[in-house]
Amino acid sequence: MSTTTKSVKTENSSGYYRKILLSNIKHDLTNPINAILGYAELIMDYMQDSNNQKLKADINNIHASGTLILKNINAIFTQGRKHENDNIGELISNPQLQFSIRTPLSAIIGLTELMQEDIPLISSEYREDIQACNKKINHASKQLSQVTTDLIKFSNLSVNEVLERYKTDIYSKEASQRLFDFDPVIAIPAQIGKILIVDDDSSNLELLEQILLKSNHKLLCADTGESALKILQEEQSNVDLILLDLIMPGMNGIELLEKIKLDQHYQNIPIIMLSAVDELDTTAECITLGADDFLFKPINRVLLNARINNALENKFFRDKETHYKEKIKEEQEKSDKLLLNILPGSIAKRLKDGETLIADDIESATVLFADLSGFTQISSTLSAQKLVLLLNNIFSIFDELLEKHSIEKIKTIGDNYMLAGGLPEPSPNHAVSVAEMAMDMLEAISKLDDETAQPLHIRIGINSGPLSAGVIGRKKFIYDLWGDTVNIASRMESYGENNKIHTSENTYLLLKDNYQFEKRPKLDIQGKGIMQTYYLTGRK
Amino acid sequence: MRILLIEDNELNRDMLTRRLERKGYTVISAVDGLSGLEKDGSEKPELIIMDLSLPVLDGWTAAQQLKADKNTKSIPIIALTAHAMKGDREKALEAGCDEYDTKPVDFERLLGKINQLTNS
Repeated sequence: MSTTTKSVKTENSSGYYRKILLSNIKHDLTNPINAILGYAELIMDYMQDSNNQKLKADINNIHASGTLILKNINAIFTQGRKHENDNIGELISNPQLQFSIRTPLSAIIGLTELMQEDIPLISSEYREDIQACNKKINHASKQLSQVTTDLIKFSNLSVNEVLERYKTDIYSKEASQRLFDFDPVIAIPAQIGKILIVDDDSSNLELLEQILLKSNHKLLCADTGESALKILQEEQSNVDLILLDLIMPGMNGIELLEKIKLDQHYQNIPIIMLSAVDELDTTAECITLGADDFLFKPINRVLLNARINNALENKFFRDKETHYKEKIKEEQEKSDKLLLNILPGSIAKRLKDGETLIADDIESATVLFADLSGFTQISSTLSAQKLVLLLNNIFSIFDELLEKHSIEKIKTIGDNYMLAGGLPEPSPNHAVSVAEMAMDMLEAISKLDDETAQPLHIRIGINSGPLSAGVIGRKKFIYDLWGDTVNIASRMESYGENNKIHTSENTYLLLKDNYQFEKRPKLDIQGKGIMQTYYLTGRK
Repeated sequence: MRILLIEDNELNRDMLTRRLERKGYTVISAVDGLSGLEKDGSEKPELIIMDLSLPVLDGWTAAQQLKADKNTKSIPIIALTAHAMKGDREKALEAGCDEYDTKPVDFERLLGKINQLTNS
């Protein structure tokens, strides 16, 4: 027999290919066994309450034989992996391997054929289900027999020669047919979802389908990485879970896993890898790449259902959490917007941060009161609705002007409008801002007066000085101002004249360098005494 | 018709015995080459089905001895093997076996061979 021929590739790469080849061959041997064990377990399930001891013994023996074959295969391949320099052709056509598969396999096939005659005679309600599973075992066993026979053809070949022939799929795999359909017994699990199964082996796919259909899941199947990706493109976030076989021809499990995790459309779908116990390292690698869980073949039904349930539960919780988070964010934004409508941004923040009493001493600010004089007369000629509309119109114009001048609106009281500059944060030009605002307000009213039939007038009063600002009360609170400065500003308004800006001495002193003023005769202000006041007439 | 089945694997022995009995054959079974020969002495079977890899006395040697003994040389022997090695078939036929098959057993094919060997 030939020794392992070295190809033009390096020694290392030959070892690499040897490893891949061994994995692939082992995979093809163990797939049918996993089907045999899986279906045997299903039958054992169905027969739990049966008294038919002979049949139970037979199915137990089938299962035991399958387990034995698996054990033998694992032992030989583990040994083959260790002795890296052994001729691979010899390894896989090894008479010992042949013997250790064929002997138990002969028992399995014979037993299923015996059972095929015996099952129709049992009284169980699951008779047909059992017969169906039995046929599957028979089918998988014959598949294994064929694969085992095919291996003999490799006996004199080198790694590369085997690789070549392996790629062209020399195994004469029988066409996998569904031998029949049957209605499985339905066990309702806690979580139900749409599951994509990716596995190149059709008997594996069928077995998984049968197990999972029992649990009411919706299933999609793909036998290559490419077709799996196609399905994902169509379904996207409708897929709740992916069962992914590690070893596949063409695009293998890891490659597919990477592709899925890179795509934002399906990177959040949980993935359970299906691999073999001697592929632990590669399986761990899959976990680091983002797979959520794994299961070793032969697939244990109970574990499979448990892990699927777990993964689905987690996913559904995560989905709900994301949804709730989005909703919370929406609501928070709504309430923030509302709050900002009522309070200045910095004050709103302080309230949210937990400050319960906000009372600041403002060293220097300018306060303005504006009154729409003559409104009471207008109100007698207009309907209530029209009146409110007009007021709304006017105040809306003022509200828009606020932003232009960085002024804080404090409140409106009936047809009275109160604003201030220099708060909540201090600003050196507060008097100027308020003066400009006042002049804009005059202009706006003048324009409106021309446009509407009603005579519209406005009286404006301004004062500057220290004051207190804050939020008091627990309900329906606003950001308000107190102090003498505020009271005097109010007086300025009430002692003013139509369409004029009436200011105190303090405000005059702050603005006299840049604005024109008309000095008024001293006034006797109620509660304040004699005061010198001015009319702001324009800019210099 | 009596068939002597010499097979050391219990499951396979049980399975084949049941299957042959269902087809109407009477099956005498033995677990190794030596007791196979002894059994053979007391109740002569019409056919022997023998696994080649047997303990105590292996199948090839047992086959040779059976064919050497005038009492048993006319009994047809079907050899079964799970090794599937090259040259197995020739070796079995050389040892005197009349037919040869590999495991896993294709039962229909086996029945065909039984018929062929016991009708001619």
